[in-house]
Amino acid sequence: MRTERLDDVGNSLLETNEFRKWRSGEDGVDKAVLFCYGSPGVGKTFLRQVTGVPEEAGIITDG
Amino acid sequence: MFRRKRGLSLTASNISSLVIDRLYDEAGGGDVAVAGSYCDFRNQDEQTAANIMGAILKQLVAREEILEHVRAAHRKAKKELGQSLRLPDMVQMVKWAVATLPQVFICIDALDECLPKHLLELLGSLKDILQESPRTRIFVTGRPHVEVEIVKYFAAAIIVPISPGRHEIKRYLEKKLEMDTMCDAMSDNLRADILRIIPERISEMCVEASTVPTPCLILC
Repeated sequence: MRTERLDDVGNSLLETNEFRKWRSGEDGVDKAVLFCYGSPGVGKTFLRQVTGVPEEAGIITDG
Repeated sequence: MFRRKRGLSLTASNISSLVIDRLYDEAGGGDVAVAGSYCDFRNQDEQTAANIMGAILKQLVAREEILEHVRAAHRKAKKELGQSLRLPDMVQMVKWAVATLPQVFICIDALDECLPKHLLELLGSLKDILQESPRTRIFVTGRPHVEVEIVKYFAAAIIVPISPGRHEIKRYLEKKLEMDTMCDAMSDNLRADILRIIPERISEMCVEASTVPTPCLILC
């Protein structure tokens, strides 16, 4: 999957304090949930090509 | 039930993929488990909270570290109840599996594509798991209107807006143009216009969409 993704696009999230703190858990259980939302005007209507999680995440396909 | 999706993307789904990759890279095959699922509006009826929990559970029990009694409970429940495990049973098994691991990340993409009733059950289940295993981290993506439901269950959730910058849109377009198989239909002027106008228009749409009331966003 990562080979099909554009380098550096979206990486800024991974460098934010919000992501770092969520990842480390330093703010405790209250901050255990990270919600990223995207505008439908960008993602759904015009630019949404499909993507997904990498093979090793093992998304279930048994339905 | 959950489809793998492929291709280039600037969307929240892309972010989700990035996050999962980062978590895997940092884990280095160590004490961290990452389980993910993607919601798809074309399978809304089938994407119940129980099925999504089942997807998470299957990924977790595939790990060697999971204790045999969790696997055995999973096998027994499947044998007795087939594919239609009840949500409480599924959640309980996820709790058992999570409890055997030092840290678990659960990533669920495109929550807005769940039916509302399934979404609420799913969020309730995640809250249940989190209360029992507070080291668990949950990463979710979706359209803006889902925030209302998320904060009902996770009042202090970290909420981050994602919108591509012009340079990201431009890079995406450049990549797509590189892959264009109809080169004869392209001219330097058209290419320049595409790379100039589309990033401008989409950036404007981002601003406009972020100021539109939620019901309108749902219809977009």
